[in-house]
Amino acid sequence: MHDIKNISLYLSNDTIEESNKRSRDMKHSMATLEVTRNIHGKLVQVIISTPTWSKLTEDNFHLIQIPTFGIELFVEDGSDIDMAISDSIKALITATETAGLGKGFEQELKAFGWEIPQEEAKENQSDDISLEFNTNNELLFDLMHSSQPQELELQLA
Amino acid sequence: MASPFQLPTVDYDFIHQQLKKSPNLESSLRIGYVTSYFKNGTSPLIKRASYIHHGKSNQVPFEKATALAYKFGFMNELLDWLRDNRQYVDGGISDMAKELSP
Repeated sequence: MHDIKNISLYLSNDTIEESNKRSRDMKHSMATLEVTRNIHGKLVQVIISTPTWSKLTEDNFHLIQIPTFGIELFVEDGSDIDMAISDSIKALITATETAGLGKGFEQELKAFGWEIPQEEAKENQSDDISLEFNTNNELLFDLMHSSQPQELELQLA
Repeated sequence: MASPFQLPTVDYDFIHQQLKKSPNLESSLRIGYVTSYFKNGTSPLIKRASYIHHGKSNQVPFEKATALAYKFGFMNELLDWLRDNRQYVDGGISDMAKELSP
């Protein structure tokens, strides 16, 4: 069992105008992600903006779905939903980075369908890696734009 | 009183024990209240991951339990456990439903 305690997580406190602007910018991609690494290649910060869903199932469990990260999770208590979302994404990052499973966080995301945005690939100015999630599934695409995106900022000490 | 048609829940301890025994399990990882289980294979790690949240009662819903049993190959053990501990027979009639039927 690995237990990482030094990851702190907080929701970004954007004003309404800023978040509206950001959701307008996101029209062409459903979810975005930005990864910052230090000189030694260690993951320092991950900023995630992704839509999430939760619904109450027949047996009184809350089903959380994050299709951009392939996460499906049942939660008993509705007040635990936010914590469960961040915990499951943290688990994915820890598995790929610290526990040595897979080929690294970005590589695993690319294998799952995340892409480097075309504008970024041309300019390639910053060292930070940004990725976005696109799909050909029209139903999923419409659903994505009807939901409120969840913004997470993960700081890895 | 629970409805006779409601699906039963499964104890987390039983699921964890079966997953640890399974030859398909590559690794497990607990962060906060979420434990993730990774199946072995060559497909992307995200597709091989399953997540369980630990609530107050530490129960796993029927849907998740059967999905994990299918992926990790302990369906027979799960159905035996449900018959012994929850009086639930898959495709059969539960005792509670028998009492209600004329």
